[in-house]
Amino acid sequence: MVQRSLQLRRYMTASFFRLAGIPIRGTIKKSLRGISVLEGPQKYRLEGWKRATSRFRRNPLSTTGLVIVIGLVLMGLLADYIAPYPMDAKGRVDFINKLLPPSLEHPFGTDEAGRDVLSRIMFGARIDISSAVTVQLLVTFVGVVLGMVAGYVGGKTNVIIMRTADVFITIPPLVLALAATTAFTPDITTAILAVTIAWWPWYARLVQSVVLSVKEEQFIEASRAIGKSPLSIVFGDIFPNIVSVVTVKFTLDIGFVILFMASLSFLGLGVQPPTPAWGTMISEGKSYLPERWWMSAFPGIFILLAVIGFSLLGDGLRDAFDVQLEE
Amino acid sequence: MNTSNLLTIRDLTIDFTTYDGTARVVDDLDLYVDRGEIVSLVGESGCGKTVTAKAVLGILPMPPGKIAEGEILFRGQDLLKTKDKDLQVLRGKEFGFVPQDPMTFLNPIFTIETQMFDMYTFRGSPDVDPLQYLRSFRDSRRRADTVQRALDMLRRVNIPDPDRVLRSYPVELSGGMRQRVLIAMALMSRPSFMIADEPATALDVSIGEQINEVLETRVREEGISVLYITHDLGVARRLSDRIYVMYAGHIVETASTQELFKGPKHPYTLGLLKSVPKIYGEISRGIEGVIPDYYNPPPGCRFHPRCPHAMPVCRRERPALREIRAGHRVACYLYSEEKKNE
Amino acid sequence: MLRVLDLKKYFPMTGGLLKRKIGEVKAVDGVSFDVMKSDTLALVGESGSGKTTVGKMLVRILKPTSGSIFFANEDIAKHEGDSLKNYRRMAQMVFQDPTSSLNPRRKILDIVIDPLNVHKIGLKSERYEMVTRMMDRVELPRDFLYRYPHSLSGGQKQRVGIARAVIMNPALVVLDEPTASLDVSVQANIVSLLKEIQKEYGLTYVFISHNLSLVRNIADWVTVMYLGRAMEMAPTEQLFTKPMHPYTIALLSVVPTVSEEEEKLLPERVRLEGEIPSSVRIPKGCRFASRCPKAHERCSSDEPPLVDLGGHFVRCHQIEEGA
Repeated sequence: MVQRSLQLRRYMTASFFRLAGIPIRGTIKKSLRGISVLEGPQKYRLEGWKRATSRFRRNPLSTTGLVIVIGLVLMGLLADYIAPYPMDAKGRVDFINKLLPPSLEHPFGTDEAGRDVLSRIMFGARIDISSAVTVQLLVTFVGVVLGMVAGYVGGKTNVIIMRTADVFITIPPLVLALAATTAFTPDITTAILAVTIAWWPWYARLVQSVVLSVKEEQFIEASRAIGKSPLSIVFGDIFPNIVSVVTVKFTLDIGFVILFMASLSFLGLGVQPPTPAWGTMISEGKSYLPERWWMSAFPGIFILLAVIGFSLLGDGLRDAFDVQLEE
Repeated sequence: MNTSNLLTIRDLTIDFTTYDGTARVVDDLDLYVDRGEIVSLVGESGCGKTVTAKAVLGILPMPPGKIAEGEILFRGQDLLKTKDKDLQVLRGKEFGFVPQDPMTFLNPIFTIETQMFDMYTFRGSPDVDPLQYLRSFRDSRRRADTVQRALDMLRRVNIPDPDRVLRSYPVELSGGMRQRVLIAMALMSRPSFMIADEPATALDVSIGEQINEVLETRVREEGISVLYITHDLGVARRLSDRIYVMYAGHIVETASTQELFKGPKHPYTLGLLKSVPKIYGEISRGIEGVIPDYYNPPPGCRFHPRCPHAMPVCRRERPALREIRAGHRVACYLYSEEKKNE
Repeated sequence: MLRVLDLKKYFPMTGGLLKRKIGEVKAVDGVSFDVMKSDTLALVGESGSGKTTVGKMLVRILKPTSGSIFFANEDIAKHEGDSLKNYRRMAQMVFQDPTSSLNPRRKILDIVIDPLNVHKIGLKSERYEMVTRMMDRVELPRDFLYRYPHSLSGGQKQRVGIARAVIMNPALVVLDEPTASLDVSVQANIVSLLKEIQKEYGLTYVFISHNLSLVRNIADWVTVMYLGRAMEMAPTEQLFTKPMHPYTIALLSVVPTVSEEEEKLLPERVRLEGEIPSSVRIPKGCRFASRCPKAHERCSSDEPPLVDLGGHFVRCHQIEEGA
């Protein structure tokens, strides 16, 4: 059973990559397909990838989005090396230098504890982006699996799953997160779980509807005629057809989740001091507005940047996938 | 070809511009339809026949599409140089259209009666404002007149129960019925010219036959000129007076129906005829090769890569349509004396 | 090799708030025929005739409501599980619309290698070889294996469909209007390919079509269906030279011809009035009576049985009575 799920996960990641045409490493591929890797396939997979990326690149907006996202991610990853005052994000305080406006030494100024805002923003990227991505991954996994099962099996299972989804949709995520973090430990994990619970139904619904329509296609009939088991049809034939839709939604939603998690940290839930998160920083800086604007403004700008970046990226992906199909 | 024809197309060239470049889908097309005749435009998918029809009707999507050259003369008036508004009036009053798929033309949420009334009342009137439209509902006498006309028309297309059909919604009718309704709608405003785009292709054989027959009877009766688009040579043979054979964006052969089937000349026409499964004899292997890439068409004659009789000159220059017998024209160097020996 | 006995397929219709069964669509209402090994049987008919449904039942995409399908002396109509899976190795289908029968999100290689993987044919390492050999056989360049269906033409896609169906070397191949959506010249190409492959692999074909001229070219036996029942069954030659059922005659009369010689070989044009009745409310008596130019009173009350006139089967009162 464990082996099957491992195989399944590997297959899913592999088919995702294969779908995007990214040449994946020979070892993984071999264990799944049992074919020796040849010259031919590599060349054509690269070609497919090249066409998709060229189309993507042709759209200046989506390239901008990609650049922004990559920039933010790199910023977060390399924070330790590029932040001017890394210790400011890890608990150092320097009250002598508190509330300084933007200057050469502190491009974004310092906050009320004398910590360099720029460095804190860089480390904050880690929290904000990674928590949003984690939420999305969890939500996607749960939603996709349930959606596919509901869509393909149909009947009572479908009804049960969809009605459950309906129930969860009615729960406002913010309220649930508030309740959860009040009832349990007010840290980031709780917040992530709370958002996941409120968010998964959207994906389940989306996937279920796509599966319902794909299910009726002739190529599914053909697979049944060949003798494929329902499981293999769902993951082999139907899954590639939902990947594009799910990926697009995934990317577009990250922006929203970032915003949401920022709201949570703004309210003081989720991240605890001294760990920097953009929302917390805005909250801490709000009592100093409007004279000492830099403490809230810059984190806010970065939230905006992140949301815009992911949205443009998602839009671009959607166009890229669409065109591939339109061809 | 004299200019007193109802429809004359000259040197029509249509380009489509997409991400991958510019494709010349129709190249230097010459075609005419005289009063009262049924002319077939025969070709396989992708040859450009539907694009041509859309250009005549003025419904070609112009951003990707562009008419690079040529003129489309209707009663001597160049449609390509006519203003949109005037074009709408002209089209409404003079043109009829029977599409391939009846469902795309019928609005599923309105009854047939409503649609026939709307079509008849507002055809050829551009810029109908909503108030005008709503007011039309109250003009009961006009409605009654139109209903009578509609019933009459439905009867003429052999619909046995026109009352019921008028009151129905498109989904309640079978494919054959819907197609008949569309023919009736097209005929209602007494057009002088009709374009039929493969009207029987989507239907069963026996129903399609009925449709073709009803169409033929009605247009002959009223003297309506028809441009009938099809990929089926057999159907073209049955219905039309003259045939144009189209390949990769241009006309390769044209003649009267009798003449064409008695002595087809162009290698493509011959290949096509051979490919048609017959009641006797073996089926051929079809025509070698595939249709050309419109973004990078082969130089010279577009058919030469697939032609068993290709000559060097075919690769250099496109053969023009030349008359080899009265009314029979072929675009092929096999039939032109000078070029043959190059 | 294949014997079908009284095959029926009824689809329930649900309606109303409680989704109760309010009726049945009798798509196939009792069809029987035999197919000899390496022969081609054609199922001819218009929409509603049930020919596609029969085809789907033969490859068990649909389960028959009743009746038997004997394949190599086993009734596969009732098979399930492993025995059904074994049968699937023997019987495959080529679908009508090549665009929708190939998964647009999968490479051609994956599509064609699928059956081999499902039934674990050959060693994993050998399967790629088998696929390339198949591609050569259907005359498609090998690099198409790494392309997606959307970059192939209709004819090429259909060849992929054929490759997928034949790669397991099944004994029976059901072809559901394989050329209906293709151009005439491409159609000729595909049909010759099918004939060659049939001879080479010794396949048995059940060819579903509404195109009689095509059927004439490829079939050994023809069954003409109307509204779920067989109206006439005969060897091809006989059906075309001596058609007996009024429906067959009507169908033959409207075949589009391209020459006068051809026209002379076919019956005079018969105008069929009316629409094809719905399969929900099957008319009493002979199903074709409502449109039959030769209908009598008896035709609307008794359904005629299928009568064997020396290897030529007809379901018509007129013929019985020696008309």
